[in-house]
Amino acid sequence: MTTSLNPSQTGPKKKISFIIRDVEEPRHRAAVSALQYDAKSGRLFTGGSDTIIRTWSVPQHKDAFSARGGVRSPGKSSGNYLSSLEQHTDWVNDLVLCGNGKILISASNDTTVKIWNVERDNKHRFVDCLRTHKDYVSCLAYAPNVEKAISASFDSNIFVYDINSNFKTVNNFTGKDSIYSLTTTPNMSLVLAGGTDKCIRIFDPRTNEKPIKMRGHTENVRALLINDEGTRVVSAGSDGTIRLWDVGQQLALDTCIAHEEGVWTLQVDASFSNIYSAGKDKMVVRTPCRNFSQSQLLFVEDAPVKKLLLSERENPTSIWVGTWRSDINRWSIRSSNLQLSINGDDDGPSTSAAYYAKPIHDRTRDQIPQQTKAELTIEGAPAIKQHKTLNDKRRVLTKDTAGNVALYDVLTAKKVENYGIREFDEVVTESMQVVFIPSWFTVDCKSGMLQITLDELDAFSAWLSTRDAGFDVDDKETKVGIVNYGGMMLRSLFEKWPPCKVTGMEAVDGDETQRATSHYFPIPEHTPLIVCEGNGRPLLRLLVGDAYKEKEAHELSQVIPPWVTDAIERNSLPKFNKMPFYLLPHPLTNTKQPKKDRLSATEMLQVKKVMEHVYEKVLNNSDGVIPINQIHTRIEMYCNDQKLEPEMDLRTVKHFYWKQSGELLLQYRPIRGA
Amino acid sequence: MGSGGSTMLEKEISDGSAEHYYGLVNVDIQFRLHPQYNQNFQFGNTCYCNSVIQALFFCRPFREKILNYKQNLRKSSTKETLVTCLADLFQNITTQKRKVGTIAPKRFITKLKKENELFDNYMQQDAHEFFNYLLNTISETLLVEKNAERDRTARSGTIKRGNVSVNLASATASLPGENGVGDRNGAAGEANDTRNQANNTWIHDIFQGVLTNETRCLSCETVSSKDEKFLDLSIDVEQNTSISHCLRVFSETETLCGDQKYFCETCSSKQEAQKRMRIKTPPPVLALHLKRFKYVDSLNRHTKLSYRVVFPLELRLFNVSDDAVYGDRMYDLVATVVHCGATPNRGHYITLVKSNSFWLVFDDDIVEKLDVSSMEEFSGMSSDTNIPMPPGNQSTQQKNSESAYILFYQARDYAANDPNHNHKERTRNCTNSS
Repeated sequence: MTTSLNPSQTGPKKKISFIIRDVEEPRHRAAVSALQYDAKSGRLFTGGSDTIIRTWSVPQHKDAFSARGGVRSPGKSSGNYLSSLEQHTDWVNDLVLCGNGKILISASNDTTVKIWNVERDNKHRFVDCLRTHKDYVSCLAYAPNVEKAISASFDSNIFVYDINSNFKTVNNFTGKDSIYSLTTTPNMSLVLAGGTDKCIRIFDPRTNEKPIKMRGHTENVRALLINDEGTRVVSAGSDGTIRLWDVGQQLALDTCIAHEEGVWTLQVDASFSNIYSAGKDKMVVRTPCRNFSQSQLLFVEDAPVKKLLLSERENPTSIWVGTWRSDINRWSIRSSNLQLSINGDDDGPSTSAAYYAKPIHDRTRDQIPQQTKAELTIEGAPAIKQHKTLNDKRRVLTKDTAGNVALYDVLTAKKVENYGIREFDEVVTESMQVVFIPSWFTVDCKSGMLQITLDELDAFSAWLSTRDAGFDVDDKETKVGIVNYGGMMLRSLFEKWPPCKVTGMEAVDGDETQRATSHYFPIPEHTPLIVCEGNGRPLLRLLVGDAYKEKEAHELSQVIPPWVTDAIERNSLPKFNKMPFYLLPHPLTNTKQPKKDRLSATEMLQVKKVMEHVYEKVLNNSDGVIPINQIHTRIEMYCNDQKLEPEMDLRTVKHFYWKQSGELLLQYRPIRGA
Repeated sequence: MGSGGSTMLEKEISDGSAEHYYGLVNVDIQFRLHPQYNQNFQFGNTCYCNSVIQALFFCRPFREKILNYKQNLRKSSTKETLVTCLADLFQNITTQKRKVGTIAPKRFITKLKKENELFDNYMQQDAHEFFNYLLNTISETLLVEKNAERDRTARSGTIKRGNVSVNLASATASLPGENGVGDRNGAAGEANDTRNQANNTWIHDIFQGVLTNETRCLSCETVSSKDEKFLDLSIDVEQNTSISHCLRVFSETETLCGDQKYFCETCSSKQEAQKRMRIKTPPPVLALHLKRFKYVDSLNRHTKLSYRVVFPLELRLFNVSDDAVYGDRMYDLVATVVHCGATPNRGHYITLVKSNSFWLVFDDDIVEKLDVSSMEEFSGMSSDTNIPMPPGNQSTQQKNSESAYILFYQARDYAANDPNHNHKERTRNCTNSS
């Protein structure tokens, strides 16, 4: 069941985006914030900031370890990449595995909830998209006994979906302010939500009465867990505390202050006896429910922790950790009651002696961690953190989390150069040219990859001469062509879309504006293309190479905005800007009564054309026509007392030589005795 | 000089102090036809200026600096500036034989009108605008002279004995305790401070504080702060509240969400965030401006909010951010500029000042003692009745709409004779090598 959208429903000013990336992206590029594990099939599902959900095959903990608890081959244990689920266009915040391990639900900042079929031996595929929310969808919850899934968002709404009825929305609660945490009992007797208003709200789906509020946290509530009976709740917040609540009495029983900064994720074992917590301070801590002052430092991660996931809830032996880094670690957990043999192939400095001798009043940070090395690591890849668009408005310089500097070409949607580890600013300075081309796209690296966006207002502002664009131009040619980068880009993106392809062929012989887009470059077929609303909400995502297929082509025609079709179907581009300017004789020419002309011309006009105008029309030279490429032997043009090159266009002159407000002033000076 | 009223005041104040209490004559009194009531009216127009000058005169640190300035002026500079006119006025008052009287600040007003065409008319002006202008003008003048002195010294190569010497830019390294601003910065911060302090005058020493704008991303919880300097603090007012309440609201957290999400550098994306403004370094003298004049689109003009905002005689600044140098600071009210009237353009300004242990009201040329208990009458009106009343009742209406507009609070720990605060004008004793 596809939720189709009427073109009339969607907002104005739609945008077009695409992502420059490799065909396969088998490794996470940025933070990992969502984890789900299917013990039966040994598969791990992960999601994060790079928008892609990945599936991995991972060894069981017992296979990775000797009977005595030591790691079999430390450092070599890893997960095998199985597949990617790619449809989201922004961070994936949460995942839920349901329907007996066959269905995966994902929640994202792109405001959608997506349903995927992840049956073991079938090709994983996208099933449906739920557009119930209007803002970032921050969390999901699952009630297995009644097969219901729940989503909550910054729009303060909570929606309940019936998994067995095609995810029909069966209930809706409204909280106050943005929701950052959600939990439910297995039979959905209670649904709890927490967020920026610092209260925990308890909703009863059977009565739908006003929710009960539990106050205590002094900052945002970032994580919530309720026990199976629905009697105890554990919460964690930006105030750095973990709190235990009694649901019946609606009051806080205990507060744990083991953490130093915001706590963002919680896990609890099946018997609700131990709480696992982590967050900004990178420490993963275990705290017994019965004694909040006995927190134990399990291990310290390399970066702030976004998500914890116990491999199993009954007597957990290992825990998965998603952090700001793209590596995903699994750490072993030793049960507090386990007596360790002294000579065992232990993998860390911590021994049972050290554990039991732990002083009670230490700062958590001062404790000896139970582990120092993860038992298993799924490696990630670097993410782009910095970007700078060069003056040629075609290439973008980037730097990633590993320190590598690279160069991308927007028009070909490819990486073109790798500079290795270098000072970003140095490379920027080296690469800058003296040319002024208006901006026609915006760059975004929230997914760790380069995303380029075109919008109606600016997309067509980059007009330039074929010479400036670097296309081979015969020097003898008197008529220099112009190209439009935005128009070219659209042709590249929609090349395979049937309506575009047909008219594109005629463009080569068409008029000037048509030819302005004919120099477009082919781009990789795997490039994802996104049509979204003005505020960023995605309407459609497809691969550039799939645009010819019937289903994709039809969906595209439903959402494609008119400003794009005008350019690629009707070859109609907005006219280029006209620029007014003044023409005066140079003071040195000693003209008695200088005539100040106010003219208007396209900003792309070259200086030599102005020279020609001055020579023939202003100075009234009737001694035959001088060829344009020799006009500079008769006339000199100045701006702010700097002599201008005949090839330069007015726009560049204004930007680099005039540099002030008010209209451009050019001064001419005839050359005597040429 | 010396009306019946002032003789009474003289008798009342037999405190043996050398203090002078001189009302400032309203030099622009016009008799004009009131547009609405068709009767002749006395329009007092320079009270916006008089009231501020009175308030500043009773700000001891400010007064002392101005008088000092006059004394240390180079003989060669005969140029008349707004500062010299103000200094002359202050000196005039302090050297009067009688304790109480009136003075007409003609020279100052004339200079003011010449310098700034905004004030070159007979209209009522905004006292706060004038206050800003005055501080900035004094500061600029001092800076020009400071730079000129530095150039002169650089050229001549020696520092003359007995002259006020100006710290050369290279010498103004950040010394601990000198200036609350920027003490904790690293090397880059110090270079910045050197430049900043080269542009600082005693106006900044007295009135300048630092605000910090903190934004916290709710996703990665990174806090980014941006410092902002101020010479006065403008805060919004609400009906039936107090200064403490308004200051709290000023520092309230604002949430950026929905369409207004914040672009977080750490997250490389738009996230929800919380933003708030806190006082990082409170100034020695805090000039608190209550935003009583609001532009109303529908009426196409400014209106006055005569809200009742109770102001304390003692103020403890609570909203000082965690890394602030001073933490909580205790202030005493030393002067208040009060606006009377229902509209911004046809109002009147008076000043309440504290001198030694008692309070006075300066209403242009009239000076009267004020009972502390009646201070509350100047808080504003608890109900918003801005009905223009016929002329006969104007005094009653004006009395009811008297609302504190600019409050001057002086830090209790700020000692006027503190050698530290004179650091910008250290007198150096140098021996001339001859």
